Amino acid sequence: MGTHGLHVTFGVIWLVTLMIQVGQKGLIQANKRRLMCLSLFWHFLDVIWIGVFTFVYLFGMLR
Amino acid sequence: MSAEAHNEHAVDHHDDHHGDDHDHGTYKGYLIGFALSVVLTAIPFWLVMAGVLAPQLTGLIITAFAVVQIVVHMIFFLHMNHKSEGGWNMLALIFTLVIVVIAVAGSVWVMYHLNTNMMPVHDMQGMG
Repeated sequence: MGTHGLHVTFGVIWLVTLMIQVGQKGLIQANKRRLMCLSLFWHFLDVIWIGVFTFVYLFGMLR
Repeated sequence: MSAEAHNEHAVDHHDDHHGDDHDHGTYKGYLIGFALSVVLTAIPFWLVMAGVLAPQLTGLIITAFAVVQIVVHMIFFLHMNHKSEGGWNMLALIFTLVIVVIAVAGSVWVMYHLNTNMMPVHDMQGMG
């Protein structure tokens, strides 16, 4: 849980950083590559979230 | 890498597409993924909150919904399919699943047999 929160925190920092970079330089090739890496990281995090939501929150409510 | 993405590269900038020849999906694909995610989250949430079914059955159903949603995320957000990276993504996924199943099933198996497989504690007393 704490680990997921930490991942999301760094993901948000990464996201804001990239928004600024894209805002300054536009969609240049380097930024496209960075966006690809961020999306991989971010969507991996939402796969983890499905597990956390199901097994921690929903199963926690079942008992 | 879909034919669509390939065409775009060929027309726009086929000089500098180095390291960028991945399938980025489409706006519509993201919308479908999002809609499916909302539905696949809302149904288990409602099942648990309303408590309409027996707890065991609810657990089984929400686990199934979670598995389906993970597949939805892999297809619509992570753009994985049997063709991406020339089929190597699929092979890596199968390898991952084999390892995860071995690790999880093996751990559960070991943990459920701890009582019978561990050396009884009372035999150890007086041995120090």
